[in-house]
Amino acid sequence: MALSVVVYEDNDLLRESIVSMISLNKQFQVGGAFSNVLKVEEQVKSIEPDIILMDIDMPGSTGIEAVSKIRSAGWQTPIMMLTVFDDNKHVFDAICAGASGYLLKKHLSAKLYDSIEELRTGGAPMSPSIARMVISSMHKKAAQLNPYGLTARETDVLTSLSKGNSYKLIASEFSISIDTVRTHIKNVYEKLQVHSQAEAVAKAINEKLI
Amino acid sequence: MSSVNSFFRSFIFAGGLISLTVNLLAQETNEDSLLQIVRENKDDNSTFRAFKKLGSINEKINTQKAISYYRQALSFPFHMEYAKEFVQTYNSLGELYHIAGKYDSSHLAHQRALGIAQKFNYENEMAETYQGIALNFIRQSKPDSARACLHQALTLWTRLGNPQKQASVYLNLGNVSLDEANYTEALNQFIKAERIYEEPPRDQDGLSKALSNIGNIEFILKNYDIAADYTQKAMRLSAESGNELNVAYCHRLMGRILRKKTSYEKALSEYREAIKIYERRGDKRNESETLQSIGNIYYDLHQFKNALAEYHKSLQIARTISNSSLMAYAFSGIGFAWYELKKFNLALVYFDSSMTKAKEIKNRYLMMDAYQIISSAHEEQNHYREALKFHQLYSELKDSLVQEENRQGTEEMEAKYQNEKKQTEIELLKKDQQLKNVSIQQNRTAQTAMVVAFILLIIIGLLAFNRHRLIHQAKRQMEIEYMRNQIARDLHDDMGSTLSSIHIISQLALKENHDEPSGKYFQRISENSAKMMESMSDMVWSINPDNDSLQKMLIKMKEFSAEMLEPKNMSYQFQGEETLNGTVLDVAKRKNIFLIFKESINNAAKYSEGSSVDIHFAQVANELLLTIRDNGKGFDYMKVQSGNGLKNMKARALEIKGQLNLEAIEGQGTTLKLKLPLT
Repeated sequence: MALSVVVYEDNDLLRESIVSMISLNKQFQVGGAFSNVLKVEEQVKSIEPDIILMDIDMPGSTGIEAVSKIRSAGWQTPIMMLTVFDDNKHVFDAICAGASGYLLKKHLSAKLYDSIEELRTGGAPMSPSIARMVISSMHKKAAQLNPYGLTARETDVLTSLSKGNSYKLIASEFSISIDTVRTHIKNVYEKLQVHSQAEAVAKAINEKLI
Repeated sequence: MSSVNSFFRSFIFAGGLISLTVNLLAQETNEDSLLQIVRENKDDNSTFRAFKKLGSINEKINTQKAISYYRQALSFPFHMEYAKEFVQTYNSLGELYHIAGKYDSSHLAHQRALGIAQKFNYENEMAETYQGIALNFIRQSKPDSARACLHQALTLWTRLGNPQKQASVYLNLGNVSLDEANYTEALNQFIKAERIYEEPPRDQDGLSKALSNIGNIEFILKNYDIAADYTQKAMRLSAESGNELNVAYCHRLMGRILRKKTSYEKALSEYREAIKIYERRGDKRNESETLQSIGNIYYDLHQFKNALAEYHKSLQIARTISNSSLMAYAFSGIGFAWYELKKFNLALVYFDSSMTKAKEIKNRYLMMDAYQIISSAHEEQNHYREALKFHQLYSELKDSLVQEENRQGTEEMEAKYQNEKKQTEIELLKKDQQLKNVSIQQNRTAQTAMVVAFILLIIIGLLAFNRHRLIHQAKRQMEIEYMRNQIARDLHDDMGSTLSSIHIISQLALKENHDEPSGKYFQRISENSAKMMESMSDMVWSINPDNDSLQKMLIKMKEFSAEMLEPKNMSYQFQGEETLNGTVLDVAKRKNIFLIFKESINNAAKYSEGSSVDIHFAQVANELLLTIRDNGKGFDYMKVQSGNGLKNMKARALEIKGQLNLEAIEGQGTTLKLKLPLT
């Protein structure tokens, strides 16, 4: 059975291109394609997609807000952010809000299928810029000794990654397999999300929304 | 006995005069030689000085001559080179006029002296002048003005640190108070003078003057024993210092004291001592006065014939110096003696003469005495009409004098009160002046502080402005960078999406039309759109101010190397990272270095067919050395020279003033060396 993919992208041409690309692959089917996220909750609820592709900058409401809404509503659907820049604070914010990974738009045609596959198996890649943001975010939350609850190895991998080392180099540096590096990165993603969700819940309780 | 009273007054006056005029120095210089200089008339300076000296030589000998010399000296035009001497000459002239009794002329001379002295701030001469002016005021019965001048002089002498002169001012002040019949105050001043004179170096002459003045006051206050003590002390001191005039004055003072104590014999001997001195010195006026004093004692002793003899001697001397006052008193004394001897006709003759002289000198006391005795004498001779006439004249004069005395008494009281009031006012004024001085000082300090504060404020202002300007510039620079970054990102965001879609579409088209001839066009669209996305993202990266350090660039390089080389199974090593410090690169440098690097890695990945790439960094001082070496097949430099890649690299190196070196030997790999200054 083909995986249902929903696309949120405000650039019409790009949205149509992505739809065309997905349509060409028998493994996927397009569940829906929208130019904004204003009705994201109802759309996700009615379509129940397997994968969501989400542009970050959109008029009206951003992709980051949409991710928050989806996660708050209890949907665990993998969400891949689409962005032109990977050194953007927005990418990190989206990950913290619950995004599962991201894909640079320049790599769309070359890596879309592989990325979706990686995302599904949980091995979303991470760029040195994002790794650096995670580390600096940890330093900013210095009040807590280990704010995201990362293990020592995860922190080491993240640090090496932030210095521009590839997964392959990290693997040889720590004498582990590339898959283990991926697992560590995957765990980092999850811990960032769990942390931010716990924060969101605490915030909601404080604001008496629940 | 009002006539006797006025008689003593004149003695006291004379005493004061002596004490004020004795400080003239003897001059040895020959008058003739000075006159010779005057005749030569070399220049103003020497002639002026000669006249001045001539004046001072003659001061004691011939007052008139001295005055004339001084006037001639002062007729010379005023010159800076003898400005001080000019002032001194005016002062000397003033003193001489004073002695001659020409107080107005004296005052004028002193005023001239004061004008010049003030202009050039000759404090010494100013003080002398003030004292000279004060003496005139004393004689003109202007005690307040005299006191004001004396206070000025006192202040100056105090500032100049001349205690002897201060003491002489105290003596003058004492005399002013004495004239006002303020004996306590006079005593105070004399005692002040005495204290100063007693301090070492002891001034015997000054001390004797102070003591004799004190003695005089005690005498007036009827403390005869104390007065005698002071007078004797003064006499001894004067004798020791050789001031004969003052010795004589003391003898006469003792005579007066002893007469009051009815020790007539002793009094007579004191007077005779004084007479001896006056005779020796040829002081006719004082000799005549003293002879009258002796006559008075004989009169008291009812030895009228002896009295007559003394009075006649006095009269004779008075005649030789044509002193009307002395003559009037002598006539009066002789008249009294003849009256007591019942020689009424003779008495009438002498009283008539006395009356005439008294009228001449406007001495109404003598006139009154004369009227009374003439009336009595006529009565004795039964000339009642005459007696009545003179008695009426006597009564009228007496009444007016009593009235005047009363008025004078009240005036004196009033003057005394006013004087005290003025003194308080002066004190207040002095305090006020002091306060003003303090406040002026404070004002001045405040002014200085304000000026300093103002200057500081300006400096601080300038610094603050400069700082503000620099901050503003930096801020603006940052704003510009931020804006540039933002514009690039926005542009890229929008164009990136479109380019992405072009890329995707071209890829899709390529798949569908792969074997068609149009396929190669889609291929080129795809490649170019990808290239465009790449260069746009590189541009945005290099513009981002966050990426200004060598370290950030290194991360980017590693990322790119992994992306390019790992899929080709080529290994790569970064070396020398530790030599890089926190050097900041500007936009042009980071863009060009990175693009050269990228081109080089690209070439290695695409064409070298090697298995590894070594990337070596070295930062030595201000130079960065980047070496990229692959172990590939290398290339023939000549064959690829026309390629755009190499040309671009060279151009980029040049743009950042770097040197690019490419060593490529076929079969031995390629080495690129980039050397560039970092600042």
